[in-house]
Amino acid sequence: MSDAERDRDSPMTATYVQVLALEAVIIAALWIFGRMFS
Amino acid sequence: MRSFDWIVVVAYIGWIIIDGLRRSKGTDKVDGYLLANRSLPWWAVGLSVMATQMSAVTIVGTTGLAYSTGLRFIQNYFPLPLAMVILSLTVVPFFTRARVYTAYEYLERRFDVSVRSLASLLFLVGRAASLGVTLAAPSVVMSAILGWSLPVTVLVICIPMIAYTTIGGVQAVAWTDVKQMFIVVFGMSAAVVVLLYGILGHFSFGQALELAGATGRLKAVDFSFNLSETYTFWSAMLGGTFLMLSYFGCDQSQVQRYLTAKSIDEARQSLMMSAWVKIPLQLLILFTGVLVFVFYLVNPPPMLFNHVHDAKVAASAQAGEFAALQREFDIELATRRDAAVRADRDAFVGSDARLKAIRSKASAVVKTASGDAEYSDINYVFPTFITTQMPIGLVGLMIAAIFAAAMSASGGELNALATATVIDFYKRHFVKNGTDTHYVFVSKLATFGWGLFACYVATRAANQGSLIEVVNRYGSFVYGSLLGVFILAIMTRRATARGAFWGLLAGMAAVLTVATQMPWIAFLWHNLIGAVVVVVVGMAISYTQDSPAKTNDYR
Repeated sequence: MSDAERDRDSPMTATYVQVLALEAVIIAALWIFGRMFS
Repeated sequence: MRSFDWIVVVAYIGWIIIDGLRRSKGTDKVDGYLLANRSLPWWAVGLSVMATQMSAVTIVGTTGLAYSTGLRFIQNYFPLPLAMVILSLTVVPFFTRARVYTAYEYLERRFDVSVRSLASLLFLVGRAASLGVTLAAPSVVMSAILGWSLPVTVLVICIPMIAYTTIGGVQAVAWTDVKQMFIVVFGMSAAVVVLLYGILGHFSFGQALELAGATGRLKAVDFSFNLSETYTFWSAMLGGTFLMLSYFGCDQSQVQRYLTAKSIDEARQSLMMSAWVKIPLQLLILFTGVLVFVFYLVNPPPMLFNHVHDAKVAASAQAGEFAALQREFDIELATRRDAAVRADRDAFVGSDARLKAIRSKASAVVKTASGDAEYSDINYVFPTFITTQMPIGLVGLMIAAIFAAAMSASGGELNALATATVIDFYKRHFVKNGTDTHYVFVSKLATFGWGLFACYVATRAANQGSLIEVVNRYGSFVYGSLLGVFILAIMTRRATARGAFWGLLAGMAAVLTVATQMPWIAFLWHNLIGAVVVVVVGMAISYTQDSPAKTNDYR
């Protein structure tokens, strides 16, 4: 693999946003889940 | 355990060794041995990152914790996705473009050799001690469960792990991690199936959740702001984020995983894998612990799961008191079971609280009778369930999964210790112009030597329970300060070598002061304090000097 290929720096903003959105959904779901069953 | 289970365990360990040896091809050069020629695919690196973080204690300890207290521990992992995003944007491109072998090598290019050596030394001391504990904790549990002596259990974990790590280098570690992650996930999934099979004959899934929820075990998120509470949403998102940033961004045992990726993009994708998968995976493990609790509502559990001091208790003056507690426990167990079956929530919650109190009293009796102030049975809950309740074959698989987790976490750490020793000290300070063959040979020696050291620490640490706490505290003592020095290196152009060096020392002094003088502050906050002090002191000293001549060229 060439140095240029190794250093290729593709934008991943959409992935980052999706990851953080999923995390927010999981936290909210856990909070609701905890309240439903306590 | 029956013969077939032993065959499964032995076959698995044999497979690990043979495949590890097969992976030694192409490791005759330093780049191949320490960085797998920067050729691994993102998914293998991603699984290796997760396997290195997931020790055997994560499996046996976390399930035990969930059995006892529920899902709260999941908050510990909330900062991980955010930390992965930050690291993907910052250190991943820096380290990859810099073509470094260790994270600390970058610090010399940015500052000077003193900052690099100090940071690497801190990593070596902290990681060497924690490696011993990483091995000791599961060894103690497995030796009690399997009836082996502690040294034998340590050796069963260490010999294969040292063999494949020494001979195959980072490639063997990474590909073994991949297999081990599959074994762990498959094993935990199988445990959930067995648990559900045992539970659904007595309760519906909804009733099982109602029972677990009634005792507070499904309350996962705590939004209260309390500095003395270790696991709350805020301590995780503030203190924990700094811990995750430091662990994944400044600890060689993790940095070395993603340095083996083919490119910046693949290294980022490997971190994103953890960001997507880690919280659901930890939820699976914690939920398994909650299901073990529900399972034992209708299948009588032992009063205490850790039987290591049974003989001492039976021969002590407390034997009568312990037997009386056992009778009280058995009666209360029947009461709780009836209340659960009748769905009488108030009676069930009251009975569960009384059982908890009886267990606490029994634990205190064991401590008095044995003189073991560190006695605890949390880590023994899940192994007890495995060996007494799971079907033949799956018992062997689960025991193999626990050994697998111990080996994968330790192998990555061992590999990183050898790399830092050879690259940051031996090659930098002693033999600067050796051949590749020479450095690979020395790396293998270092791996083997650290492996022996870890075995020794593991057998010693097992007899000193408080050492685990000391090492955990040391981790947070070092991690925040290390993160601070990397923030100075990467985020600022104005920071000088002198500022970074003294900032690093000031950060550790600050955390030491807080840890000793303000013990009510939970250790997760130490990471935040260390990082902030390093940056503030480092920048203050830097501004008393001229701007550094060196600039950072890897943006």
